Amino acid sequence: MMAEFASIDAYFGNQNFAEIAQMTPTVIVYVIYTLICSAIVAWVGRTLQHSAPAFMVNGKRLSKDVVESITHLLVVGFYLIASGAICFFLKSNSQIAGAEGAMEVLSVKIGFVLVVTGVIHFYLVATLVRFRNYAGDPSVVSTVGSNPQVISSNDTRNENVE
Amino acid sequence: MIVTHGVYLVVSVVIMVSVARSLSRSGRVFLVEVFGNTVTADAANTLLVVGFCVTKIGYAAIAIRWGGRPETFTGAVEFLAQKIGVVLLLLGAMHVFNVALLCHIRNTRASGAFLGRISKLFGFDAT
Repeated sequence: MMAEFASIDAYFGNQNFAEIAQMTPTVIVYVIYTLICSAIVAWVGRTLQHSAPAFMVNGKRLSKDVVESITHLLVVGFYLIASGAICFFLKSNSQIAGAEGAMEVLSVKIGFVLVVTGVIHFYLVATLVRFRNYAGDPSVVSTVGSNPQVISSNDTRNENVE
Repeated sequence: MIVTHGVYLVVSVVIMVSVARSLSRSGRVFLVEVFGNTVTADAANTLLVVGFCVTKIGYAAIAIRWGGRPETFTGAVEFLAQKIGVVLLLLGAMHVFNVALLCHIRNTRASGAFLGRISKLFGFDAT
């Protein structure tokens, strides 16, 4: 019991990492799953970061600083939940036999993460629309920036293209 | 076992500190927008960071016993991923709740409805 975790020396002393890491089919599936899901989440997050400001400036009441701040807050929330979902769905209870089984397991797991990512994404887009609507509410006055109405959607779009 | 516990604690604290720093840096402008002045915004920022850190360290410390004891490398990877995943999901949920609450405060600031409800809840006079 606990042969590999008896001491730190036993854990790190061996030169051959493959021997310690036991690259079983399960571990290989986990590595592929993590790589694919990270790529998908990074792609969606970057898309969100680039296109969210254009959504919010329609109200023309939020200054550029506030729009950037809100975008960053939303994107951090997205990354937290999405990477949490990736970690949480990593464990596979089924025995992986052969390439066929590995593909099935991978497909189901990546599908789960995609569904979670999609749901968060829709929620965030709904939030952006609400921000735009609230920004147009005349009873709420922006307090940041000397002239909160200086930005137009064209300005922001140009500045966000890198 | 001690290695997995160590990795779990270190990763949790590193995630928490980096997220708290990032949020406090980029969220300041939003808080100024929410509260209408920089003094309240900075105070709220500090309070949020402290609350965030205390809650997450507490959760990470309590949750260290949950999830069984892994005996193989694969088991250790699964164990770590699930525990860190829960930490991340809770961080995200807390963050979304905070942003939603702050938005609510911002949008009801003009009417004073939120402050009125809070003062009724905690029994102090807001005026």
